[in-house]
Amino acid sequence: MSYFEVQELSKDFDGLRAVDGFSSGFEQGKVTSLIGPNGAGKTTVFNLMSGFLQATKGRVLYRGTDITGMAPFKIVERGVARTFQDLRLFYHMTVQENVLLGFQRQREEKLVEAIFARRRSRIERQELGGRAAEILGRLGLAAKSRELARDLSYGEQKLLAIARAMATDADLLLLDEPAAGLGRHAVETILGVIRDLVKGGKTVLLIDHHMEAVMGVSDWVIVLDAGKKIAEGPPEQVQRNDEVIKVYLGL
Amino acid sequence: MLLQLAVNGIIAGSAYALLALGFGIIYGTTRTFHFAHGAVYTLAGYVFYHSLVVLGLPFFVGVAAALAIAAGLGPSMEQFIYRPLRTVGASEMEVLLSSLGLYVLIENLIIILWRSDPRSVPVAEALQRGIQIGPVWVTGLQFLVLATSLVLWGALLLFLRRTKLGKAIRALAADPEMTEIVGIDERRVRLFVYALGSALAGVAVVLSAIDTGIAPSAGMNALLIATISVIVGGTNSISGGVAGGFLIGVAENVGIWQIASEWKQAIAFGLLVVFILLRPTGLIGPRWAK
Amino acid sequence: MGEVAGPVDYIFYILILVSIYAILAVSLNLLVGMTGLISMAHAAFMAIGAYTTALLVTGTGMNFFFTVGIGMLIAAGISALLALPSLRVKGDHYIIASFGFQVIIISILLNWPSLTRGPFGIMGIPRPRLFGFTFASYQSFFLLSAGLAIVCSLVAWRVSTSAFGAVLRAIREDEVAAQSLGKDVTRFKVLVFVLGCSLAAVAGSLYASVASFIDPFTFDIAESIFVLAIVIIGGKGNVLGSVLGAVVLIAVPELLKFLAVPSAIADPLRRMLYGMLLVVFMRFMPSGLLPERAGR
Repeated sequence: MSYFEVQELSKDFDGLRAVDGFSSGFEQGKVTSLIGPNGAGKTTVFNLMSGFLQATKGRVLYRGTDITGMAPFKIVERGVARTFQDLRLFYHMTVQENVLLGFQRQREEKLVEAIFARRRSRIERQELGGRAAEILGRLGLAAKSRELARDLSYGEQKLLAIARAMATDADLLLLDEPAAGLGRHAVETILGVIRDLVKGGKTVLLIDHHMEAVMGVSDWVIVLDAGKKIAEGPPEQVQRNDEVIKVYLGL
Repeated sequence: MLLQLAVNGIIAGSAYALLALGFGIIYGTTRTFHFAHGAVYTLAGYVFYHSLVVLGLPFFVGVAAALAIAAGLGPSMEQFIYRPLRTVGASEMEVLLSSLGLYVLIENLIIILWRSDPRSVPVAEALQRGIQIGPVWVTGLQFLVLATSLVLWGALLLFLRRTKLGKAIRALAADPEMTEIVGIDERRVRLFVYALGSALAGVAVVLSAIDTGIAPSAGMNALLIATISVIVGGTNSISGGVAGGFLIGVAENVGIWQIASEWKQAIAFGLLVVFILLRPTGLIGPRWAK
Repeated sequence: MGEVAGPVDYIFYILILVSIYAILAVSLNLLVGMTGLISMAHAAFMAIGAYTTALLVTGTGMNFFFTVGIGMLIAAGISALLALPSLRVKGDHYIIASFGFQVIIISILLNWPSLTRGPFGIMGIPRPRLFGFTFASYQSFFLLSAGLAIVCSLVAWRVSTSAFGAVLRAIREDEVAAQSLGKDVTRFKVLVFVLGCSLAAVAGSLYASVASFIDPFTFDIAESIFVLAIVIIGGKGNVLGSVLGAVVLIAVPELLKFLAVPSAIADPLRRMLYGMLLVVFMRFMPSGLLPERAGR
């Protein structure tokens, strides 16, 4: 039983085949990158994996369970979380509130508990506050925890998106363009976070265009073009692959 | 008996279809639930009443006044209320709420000006006379309603398909973001759509006023019917709304053959709820402007 | 309404209305303000509470307080039935569906004379009794309605300040993001809808008892829009704001009566004003009188 795999995954949009028979296995505890030109179908693959899109064909298997077409929240419950290219932070909430929302199975999320059992859930609240502070600390956002998400710099916002996903305690993290639009220093921070996650036993699947970043942090690279996998392997090998070079230069 | 009910249903349906045309073109193009459309409808009706009954003006002057007020008021709401809201970043919910506010404002202004008892408009003799066609009776007015709505439906379809402005409207409805790129002046098109839809409401209310008079709540009822017709028939297609209107009209009238007539409205709304929940794109599917 | 003997009674009557509308506002705020679900059916659920109380008290002599509980259960049941399918549809369509529910529910009340006496309504609803004491005077009824208003506001406040409330706000801002954090959005929406509608029924039960006469027209769509206006003007997502909104939109227009405005236009004038306020607030003060964080 593999940790995470997709089998013959396909997605059609009104006659356009965005993903075409994509099959791959992903090793636990490693960083795998999904790269390819714009429109290659990478984010569509993420959406299929995380339940936000229905696959036309194929399966997604996580720890041996078929999670294809499951509701997104159920997939998160099983241990697969994702971030979005456009972040989708709760901009009108504070940094801390954003992270707190990531925690699963909170007592106070049950309506009856929220109304009648506040004393009991207060203890849990404090505990969660501590865990949130710890996550924010690891990402260097601790000082900003009371600021509104919309007042953060772009780099800080990207870190917050990852912090939220970390709060879900998911084992497999799908990060959609975590380094995009960032300066050198910020990119290094993000890569450091990814390496830390893996050191802590997590598995990371990431999409990005930032070649240096991708090659620097990945254990394995998969290349997509027009919805099909055209190459995969360790970073150095993929970088030298003729098909891949053609596809990128052809832009 | 059933046949008569069916005919009544078709006539009623054509009146509803007319409502659906006006509301539908606004909703289909701008995707705004223009609740205040009901207020435009009612106000036009009262202007018509006032011109004819209070001021004693000729019929066509009254109609012209009603259409003018409607075609002026609708776009004004877009220009002076909805657009400024969107410019400051208001959400759709906020636009809807202001539309509700406008509705309440105007409906109650009408009550202050004309009081809340229903008013009737005298009808020309010819319209009231009925003729028998086979086993069914149809009045002149009923013919007029059916004819008007069919003619306007056809005219609107032609307009949307054949004219430049019509095509611009369809483009805006299908893909609002593209229109800027293609060089269509989105603002002007929207204002025109509001004017057109409101004018259609003006026609509908004139016919309705001749038939059953006008009351302050007329707009709410018309809006409800228009909404149901558009949702049931298909939010993406003008003809969908028309089809929806006919369906509701027939269902209501035939329905009362078996069910007591007080349930008419509930039948209409039952259909609405069923369609919204099971088939939100309506009878006629997603593609625009059939 | 019963006889209002003198200015003191009148003031208490206004206060009673404020407390009833405060319950309606804080409960609708849970839906509209916090979760972003605009419901136009709130008056219909108020009607369910009102009719339950009216029918049970006049028909079987059941105690008011039991009828409140039963009204809440019926409202909860109906709203649960309606919520499940309708909460899967997008914003616009949800509003229209709630429009439909409002009309259908009132239509049923209107057209079921054997149960509800149809358009004639129900008369002679007595005041509530508790352990031999009758809340007959406006003063004593006010204690009851204020008490219930405080309880309902507390419930709303607890929801608002809890993790449950945080998820509601997350859903309002970005449903997709909420789902990506493992939140079962449908479950939250259904629960808050059921809670909101049940509390509306409480307000209905109170109203029936103080007005002593109800008919389906009391609870028409204009009422739903009015409560919506209170919520928005008072402040979205803000319990204290809803209470303030109720005060402003009910007590203040009463002052109009002292301006020697002819009674025929007093009511429509009052409504015109709140329609205008709604438009003005949306443009200049969309978060209402009390912004969200001020009075959670």
